Formats: sequence, structure tokens, C-alpha cells
Amino acid sequence: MTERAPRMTALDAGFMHCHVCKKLLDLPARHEEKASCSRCSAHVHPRLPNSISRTWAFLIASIIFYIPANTYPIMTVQKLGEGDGHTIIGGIIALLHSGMYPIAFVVFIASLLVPLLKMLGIALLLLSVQFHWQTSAHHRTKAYRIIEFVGRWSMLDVFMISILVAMVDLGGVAKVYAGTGATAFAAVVIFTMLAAISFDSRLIWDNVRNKDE
Amino acid sequence: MIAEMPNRRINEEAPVLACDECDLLLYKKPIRIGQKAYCPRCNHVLYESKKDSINRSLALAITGLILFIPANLLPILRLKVLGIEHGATMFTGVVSLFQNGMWILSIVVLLASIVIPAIKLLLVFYISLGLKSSRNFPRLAQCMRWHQHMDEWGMLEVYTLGILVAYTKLIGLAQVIPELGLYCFVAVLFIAGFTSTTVDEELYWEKIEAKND
Repeated sequence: MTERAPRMTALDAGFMHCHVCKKLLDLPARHEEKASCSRCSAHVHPRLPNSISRTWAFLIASIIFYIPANTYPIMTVQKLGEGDGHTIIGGIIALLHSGMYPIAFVVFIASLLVPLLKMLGIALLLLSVQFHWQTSAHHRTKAYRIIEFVGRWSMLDVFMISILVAMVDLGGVAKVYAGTGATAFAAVVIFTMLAAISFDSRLIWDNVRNKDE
Repeated sequence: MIAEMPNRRINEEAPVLACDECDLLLYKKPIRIGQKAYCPRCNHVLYESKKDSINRSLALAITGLILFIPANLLPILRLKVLGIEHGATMFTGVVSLFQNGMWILSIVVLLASIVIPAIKLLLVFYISLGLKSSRNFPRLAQCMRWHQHMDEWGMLEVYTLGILVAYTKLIGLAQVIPELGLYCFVAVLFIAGFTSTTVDEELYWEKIEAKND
């Protein structure tokens, strides 16, 4: 690699950029001043305000909801008057028993693996920023992008239930009801998405300035 | 490609931007259509130039909006078991959840699968039309801002996977027939996906700013 001059962030140079429309603006004279973007009139901050504590708050909320999401049934299948509750894991096992391996695998990834890895990933990102870990900023940025991208796919089970509830409505013969676990699971997904949105990825790079680039 | 700031002085003439993900300050270089500009430090896509962005986005938004009506009103799947037939539209899923008493869940499904994708298409339609027309369209910047905030919360593609999982779960137990609504829905899914790739956000913001001046 060729030698290059020290790199400069917008913040170093006295700028901040609008998170919505990407316009570059001058930093406000006083730090507390509320600034809004001249182009899209969104509130602008050099870094997202209280990013770390907000992200922790959403993350902790999602961890709390993760417990009822997995212990309560996400749906109840009623056949000839007899109810049968399914948890998330129960649903995956039922798919395996009926030989639907590819679909069981997809549901396993979307509903079990992704939320867990996502919560773990966000926690590690937060800790790495708070304790100035010197792990590669490239890897952490990549991890952040993956976390941001995969989050929504966990809604799979929630949508699947809404379709089943609508379709399997055959009076006394068979009926599907949504369970408490489904609401808790939707909350897990929404809170982890909010956590990912409130995390400011620029904090990763603020830590490693001029070192690991 | 993008050039880094050579030193701590900024050339006032050249357009400057900051990377969204790592805040690196960069000179903006014109790129050819179909090209993307990446951040040299964190590899984030800074901006990309798209062919005939406004016209294409407008056309796709209109198509999507038209197809949205049958996709939501016609049944997606029909269940046939023991001589009983039962069809489900996207909306009956929401209604059945609501009748179950799962009103939080029904609102989540309603927003993610119907309301937000529809509003996003409407906003692209309005903004694109506003930028093409010489007349004054009010609140273009606000609409664009909303469009960007909604980006992650429309989940048509996840819903589609939900349909697939529900289908495989039912197919062993009963006869499941895909209906016309499903084909319209898949078409909307693709069109909504294409629309988000044809909207050149950088160009849209520049045009909105020019219009407001």
C-alpha cells in the first residue's frame, strides 16, 4: 500500500452529516445546540445521541422477551376439540418429524439461531466500543451490516402464524390460534431491530482512529 | 472512485461527503451510470448512480400500486379438507389474529405486510411525480424522509417465506391450492424490490433541494 496522509473524519474537520439525506453540515457552534438539516430538516447530530445506552436498553428488552417467546406456545392447533400448543422449538421438531428438512432448517435459522446470534452480536459490538477493544474495525463493521440485514427475517414465524390462523379455520374440525409466545417473539424481533438502528456504527471507527485501518 | 482528503485542509470548491458508517471525510467524484462509490476505509456503498432513476421508479411504483389491490383482496391460498373449502387473503390473517384477541400481533402484521409497503410505493409515486413535474408539490423532503425511515419495516419478502412455510406445514394434512392473489402478491414483492433499487437517493435529494430553492 502507498503511504498516505492521516485520515480525517467529518467530526475532526468540524462537520457532521445528516443521517437521513447525507448532506454535510457544519457542526453547531455550541455542543448542546439542536441542529436541523438544511435540506431535509431532520434533526442532525454528529453521532446518534446516547447511542450506547439506547442500544443496551433495546437489547435488554429483547433478551427479556426472548424467554416467554420460547417458553409459551406460539400457536395452538385445535383438532376435533383437542388443543395442542406449539412452541418455536416444538414447531421445528414437528417439521423434522414430517420430513420437511429444508423448511425445518430455514425456520431453525430464522427463529432460533438468528435472534440469538443477533443479540450476542449487538452485545459484543457494544462492549467492544465501551471497553475500546482493539479487534478489527473491518470485521466489526461487517458484523454490524450482517446484523442489520438479517434482523427482519426472524419475523418469518409471525407471518406464518398469521397465515395459518386465517386458513385453518374449519369450525369444530380444526382451528389454529396464535399464542402469547408469538407476541413475545414479535417483540424480540422488533426490539433487536431497534437496537441495531440505534447503534451508531461510527463509534467503532472513532475508537481505532489511525490504528487498525 | 472516491478520493480521500489529502490533508487537513479542505478544498472549498470540491463537493465533500462523509461516509455513513465510519464518518471518513471524502471528496465526491462523479461516477458513471451503474457504478457504485465505496468508502475506501470501511467499504460501505456511499452512493450509486442508477439509469433513468426517476422515470423507472415512477413506472414501477404505479405498477406496484395497481397490483397491490388484487394482491390484498384476492385469496392467496385455499384449503380443501373433508369437503370444506376455506380461502385466506392477506387481510383475513390480520382480522383472524385480531378476533383471537392478539391485537398487538395483528397490528404488527398489518403494518409490516400491508401498510408500510403500500405507503412506500405511494411515497415513491408522489416524489417521482413531483420531481418530474414543473409544478410545486408540497412536502417532498418530508415524504423522502419518511420513505427512508420506513425502509426496514416493510417485510414483503419475509411474508413470502412465511407463506411458503405455512404451505409446507399444511400440504401433508390437506389439499392446499395457490390462488390468483398469490401470483399478484409475488409480483408486488418483485416490483417493490425493484423500486427500492431504482430510487437513486442521492439524485432524489439533490433534485428536492434544487426544487426547494
